[in-house]
Amino acid sequence: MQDQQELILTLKTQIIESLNLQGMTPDEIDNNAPLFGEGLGLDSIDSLELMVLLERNYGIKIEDAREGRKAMESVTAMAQYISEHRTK
Amino acid sequence: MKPVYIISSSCISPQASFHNENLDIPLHHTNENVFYCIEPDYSKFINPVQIRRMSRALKMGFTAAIDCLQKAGDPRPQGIIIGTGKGCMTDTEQFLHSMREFNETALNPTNFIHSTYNQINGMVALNKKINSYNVTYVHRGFSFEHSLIDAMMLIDDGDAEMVLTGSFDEMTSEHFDVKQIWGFWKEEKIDSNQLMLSQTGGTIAGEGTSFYLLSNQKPSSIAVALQDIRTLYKPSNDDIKNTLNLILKDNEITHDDIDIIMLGESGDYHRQAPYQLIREALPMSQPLVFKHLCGEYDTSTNFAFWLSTEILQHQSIPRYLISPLNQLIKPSSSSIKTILIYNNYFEQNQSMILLRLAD
Repeated sequence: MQDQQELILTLKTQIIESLNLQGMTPDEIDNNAPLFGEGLGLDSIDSLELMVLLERNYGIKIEDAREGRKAMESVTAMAQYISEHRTK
Repeated sequence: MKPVYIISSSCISPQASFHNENLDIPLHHTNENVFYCIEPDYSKFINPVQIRRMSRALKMGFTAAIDCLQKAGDPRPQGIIIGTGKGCMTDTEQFLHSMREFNETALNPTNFIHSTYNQINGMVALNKKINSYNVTYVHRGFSFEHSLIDAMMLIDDGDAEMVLTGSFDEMTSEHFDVKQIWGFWKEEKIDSNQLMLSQTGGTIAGEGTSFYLLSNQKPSSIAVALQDIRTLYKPSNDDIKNTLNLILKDNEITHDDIDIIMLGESGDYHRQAPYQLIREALPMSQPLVFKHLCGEYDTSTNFAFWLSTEILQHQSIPRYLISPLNQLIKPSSSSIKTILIYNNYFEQNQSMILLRLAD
């Protein structure tokens, strides 16, 4: 079982790759900063890309938008959600 | 239809056409049977959040469109009309690969959104807050021509005073390979500078984008007018001759008034006949070829259109165009008032575009 810190690092790398955040390294993403609006400054299309990331890599399908918002509040929140819901 | 005036233009091509006022720029060539565009610095035109999602075709097309508007002082045209033969191929290919890889589940929204043909139309409209007439023509070798015709009609009908129009197409390695199988490209590698001397079938691939702001108002500087356009689908030799005579008659000019014929000859030995017919019909006109500079693609007439506009505005033929392929038959000091572009896209889509220096 991947520990939480390792999962967070993997997740950050996947976020950078899937959203094509050119020139950004995992270290530059604050674990607890909001992903949308302030913080990383992602937008609604990015949220769809992150949902695809969760489905492809962790077998998680988010159907409820409210649940999705909560799950993608920050990298830490995402990692926690993955740990609880992953099917692969 | 009344002629329309070209207020501004912007072109990204395999030559140094973007923001280059000097027409004597060095010639770029390829030995790989495919030309790719020289891409500009996008940071002045696209914000960092947008650019990370955009593929090459989107960046090039959007930048040329925005640049064209900026050159004219950022007006708000009453129409955005864009042609593309294939749209954003990179995104389309990535989306199709994902469909296969992930068994039609978990597909990236960005690739899907950007694979739609009208993506640049939408991005320009959103960026400039232009919520007027907005149309994309996806008509293979007529895509650029139909955009021009629609722009002319919109202005002629009085529905618009100013229209942003243009076209874009990109070449990808996969698209190149597919068309290679179909026999579009030459089997042997050829230096693009030698393209027109080839005695074999097929041509070389290319890509490019150019945009124009068209208006019913004549600009105060040297004005180039788009006078007329004709399209011919799989025409016979008689159709070509008749259309040539008709375009001259309708615009009250004679064969001798055509100073330059800009020919879409592609070095394809089997598709040379229609060009020879035009050359023979206009023996007093200076023939110029252009596809050894941009390659062949659905909307390659956009490069010929840009080149012709530049020649009329500068009243000179760029030095890099003069070569064994384009030997001058007239003194270089002769005035250039009228250019006819004739293109034959794989024998299906043929067009004539008449450009004139406005009086």
